Amino acid sequence: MNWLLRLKHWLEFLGGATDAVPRSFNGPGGWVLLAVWWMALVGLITLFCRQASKFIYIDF
Amino acid sequence: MMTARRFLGSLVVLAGLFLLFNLLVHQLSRGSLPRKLLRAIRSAPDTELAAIGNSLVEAGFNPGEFSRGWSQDGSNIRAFNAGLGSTGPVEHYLVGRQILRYQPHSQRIVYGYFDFQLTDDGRGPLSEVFANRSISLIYEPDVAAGYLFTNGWSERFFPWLARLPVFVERGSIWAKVERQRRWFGDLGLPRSDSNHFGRAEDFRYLETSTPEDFQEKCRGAQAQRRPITPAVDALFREADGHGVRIYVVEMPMTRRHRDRTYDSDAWRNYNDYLLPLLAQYHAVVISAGDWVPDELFADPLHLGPAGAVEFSHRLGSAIRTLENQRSPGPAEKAR
Repeated sequence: MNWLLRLKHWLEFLGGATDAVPRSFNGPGGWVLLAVWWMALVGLITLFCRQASKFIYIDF
Repeated sequence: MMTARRFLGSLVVLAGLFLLFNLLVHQLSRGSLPRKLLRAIRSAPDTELAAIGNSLVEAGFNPGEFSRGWSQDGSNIRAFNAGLGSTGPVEHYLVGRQILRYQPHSQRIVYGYFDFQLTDDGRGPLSEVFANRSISLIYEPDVAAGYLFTNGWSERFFPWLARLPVFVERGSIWAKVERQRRWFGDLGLPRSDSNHFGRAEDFRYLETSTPEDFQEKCRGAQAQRRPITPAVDALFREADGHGVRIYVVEMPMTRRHRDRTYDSDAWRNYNDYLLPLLAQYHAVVISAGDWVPDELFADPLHLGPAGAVEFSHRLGSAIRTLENQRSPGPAEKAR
């Protein structure tokens, strides 16, 4: 259950529910995880931006 | 604790991941329609007539049937459909340049248009250049940049953006998301009519709002002495310079569209205004707006397969007859 708690803490931190930095962030891979999170955000923006237009031509 | 060193480390990893993301998008988009069209143009060097335009041409021009219509006296012609949906004059110009370069036997081009395609300026924001319009980013961004934008910043950075697959191919990514969105949106609802180009009903949005607006636009173009759209002008000039005969074809429209737009003095006057402008390229204008009955349309704008057969056969026959009668001189109108 330890990993579940750690995940919960990370999600709360990323979602802004808590300001307390997860302990693993200060570990050796924390800054890599942050980069992966930023990349995930870039990917999500690329996928979903401009999706609110009334008419999107689909033949492409 | 976030230190400057860790922050920079995160940025470096992010840059690496972003590079990988671009490589992935580049690989996945090798089959995109603009790239397929480019390969098709290059693999058909014997083409003698190419049809250029947007989805109306893509859906409506059947090369085989055009050839059959043409061969009334037993002669043959190798025709090629270079139409691509959701494209504008700048993309048509770039497609035309590829045809002139890679199809050296093309002696004729058919340019299909509707409404104000020949005089609308076509310039817009950078955000509009996506999906099939990425032709501008893929084929010759340096050439396209001069015709696309009103602001110098976009024009200057356009060739640089063309090197970023995530930007160039963002339309391909959005299309996949859009398909899923439509699938979810249709859950529990009656199935909506759709075809190769999308939901049939959506194409009503592309029509001018009212007949009065349309007629006002006709009169406005004449009053402002609107020139031929710069990219179309460039296409026709280069084609004419290569000795290519240009056929400007008013594409078939439904009865509803014609009643609301073409069947008016304003549209007829607008077309008369275009003739001397098109004369400088020795173009022949063919009015095919009423050639195909409504039941052969797939949606409010596009011809269905049977409509494409009807239109293309008649167009082949009409152009062959014109060429048998006389060499096209200054812009003239044929039916």
